[in-house]
Amino acid sequence: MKLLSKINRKYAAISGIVSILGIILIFIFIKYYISGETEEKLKVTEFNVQKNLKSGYKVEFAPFIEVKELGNYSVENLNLGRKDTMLSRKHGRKSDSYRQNRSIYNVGDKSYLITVRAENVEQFELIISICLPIIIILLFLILAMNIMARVINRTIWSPFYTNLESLKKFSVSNKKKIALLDSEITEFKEMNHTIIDLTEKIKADYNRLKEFSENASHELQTPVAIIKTKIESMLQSEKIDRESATQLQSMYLTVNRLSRLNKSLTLLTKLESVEYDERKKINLKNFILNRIDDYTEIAEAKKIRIKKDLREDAFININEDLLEILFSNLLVNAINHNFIGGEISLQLNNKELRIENTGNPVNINPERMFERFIKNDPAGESSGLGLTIVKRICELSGMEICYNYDNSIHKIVIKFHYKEYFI
Amino acid sequence: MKILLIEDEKELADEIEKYIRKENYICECSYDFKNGLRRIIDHEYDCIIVDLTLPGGNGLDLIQKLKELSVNTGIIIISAKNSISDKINGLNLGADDYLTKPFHLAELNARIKSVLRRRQNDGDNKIIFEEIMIIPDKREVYINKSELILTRKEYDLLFFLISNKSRVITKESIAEHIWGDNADSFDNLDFVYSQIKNLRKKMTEAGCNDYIKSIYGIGYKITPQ
Repeated sequence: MKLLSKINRKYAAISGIVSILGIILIFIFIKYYISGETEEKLKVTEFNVQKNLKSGYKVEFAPFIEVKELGNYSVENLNLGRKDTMLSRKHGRKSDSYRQNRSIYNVGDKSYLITVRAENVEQFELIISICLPIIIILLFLILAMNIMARVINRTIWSPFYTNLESLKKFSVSNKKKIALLDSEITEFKEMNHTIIDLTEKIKADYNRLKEFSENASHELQTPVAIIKTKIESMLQSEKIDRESATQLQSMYLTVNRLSRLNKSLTLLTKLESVEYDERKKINLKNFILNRIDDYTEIAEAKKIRIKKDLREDAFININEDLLEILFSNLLVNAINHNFIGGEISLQLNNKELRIENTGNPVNINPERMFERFIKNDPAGESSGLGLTIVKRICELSGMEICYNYDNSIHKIVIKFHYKEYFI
Repeated sequence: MKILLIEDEKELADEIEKYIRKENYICECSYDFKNGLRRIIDHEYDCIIVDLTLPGGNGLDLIQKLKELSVNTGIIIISAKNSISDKINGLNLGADDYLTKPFHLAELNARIKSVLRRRQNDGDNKIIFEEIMIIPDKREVYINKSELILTRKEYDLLFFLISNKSRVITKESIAEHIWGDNADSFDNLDFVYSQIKNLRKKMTEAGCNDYIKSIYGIGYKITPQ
């Protein structure tokens, strides 16, 4: 719920309560005032009737004025004094409420019973006539508040929404400072300052961390290079026997793995750098056709067949080096995690690239497949970074990637989002 | 052939030097910027192998200095930084090649040879190994004077083996040399074996002796008989 609607709702509720209280108060006041008036009126009428009786006239106007000559009635049953009474109408069953006053008046030797009545205002009608205008006012108030809210949303809140959008697009790797719209409102101003400080701090921390991992992997390259070179030069020796050769080979393989792992880590830290900023429109179909032969040869050694169904040209806007890495990582995966005699299928149309390969089932949640160091076979040769790099490249290039495993086939689909490219 | 190696990691420099010396090249080593600069000024080299991050300065400045002094020296950059901008800067300054650490010695050796060859008398150079003759500029191979038609990869493989003749070349370095940077990510390098098998077959069918030996499953070696 939007803040303003929330506030409006509270206001409406409070106005409702206040209105009800108002209605009750008004009702009590009016009632009190009217009954006072009625009493006054009864008194005046009674006085007039008495005056007339004195001069010999007997005024009667039922049911408002009734005058009776008292005979031998006992005085106790006369209901003297003030009270409310109901009288039925002559026609119909409905009865009305009256306020009446009865008194005995003596003129000469005659006693008269004078009854004066005034019609009471009907409670229900009174309530309706109070409630209706107040409810109408209340409705107008709510309507006005809603209109106000809309206007305020469009004017006062607009910088807030603009800033929210820029916050959504915020990325730690973006070198530019986050751009926020200024506002005259103190709260918004304060918020903007805090956001800018916070994002700058996050970026600084991120960069320090990135620098550290970059440096760490650079520093690692040299010792790895030394070990690798030493092993290669030991292999040259005429004197080594088969057993040492096997040992050397396993050392060599391990150091190669280390070196690959290190390369992948360096690459991951570098993916966001300016180095890969430059993008080009590349026809993916031609790109694949130019490279697939290399992989076909490599796959053949494992008796894996690569089927390709490149139906349409697909133009994507991407950094060429990154595309090389992306494609090579995907195919290395498809070949490495395949059976001997397995199959790889490449399907391309102008919306997506689909790479499917046969392979052992995975016991990893498909959603976690792209996380760092997630491997199906923990003891395996793979670095566990290949798909992480692939995913990162997709994100940086505005493509969407998903993985799933079904019926002993691993499927990776990369969706191109043209909208983002060609605006 | 006189080669200068400027590399601050002594261990690495020693191994490179050893490998290069076996090719009967003269190899001198500098371990820092100053010494490297002095050698560049005092002597003339056919090829210089230079690291970019050196104690006392940047290898790129050495390249610039070298270019001011003489034109005809081949330059190969070896760097731990796999940075595209460094690569572009280096090549723009006139370096012939850029190799990222860690690299295979066989690869460095092949690159040195190709740099040296390009700098030697223009074209018309041949590489002769027993009855095999290679004309690198035309990418042609002759066995006993008759041409042998090879695929691009078979040619590259043969050329790489001969460039590193009498040395064990690991499968990984062959894979990387021929299939590119990422080729050693494959957990199965049998495709190197298939390529070797094809090459051997073509060569023996053309009447060439089989000089390629498999070494304990680690790699291959081409040796004259």
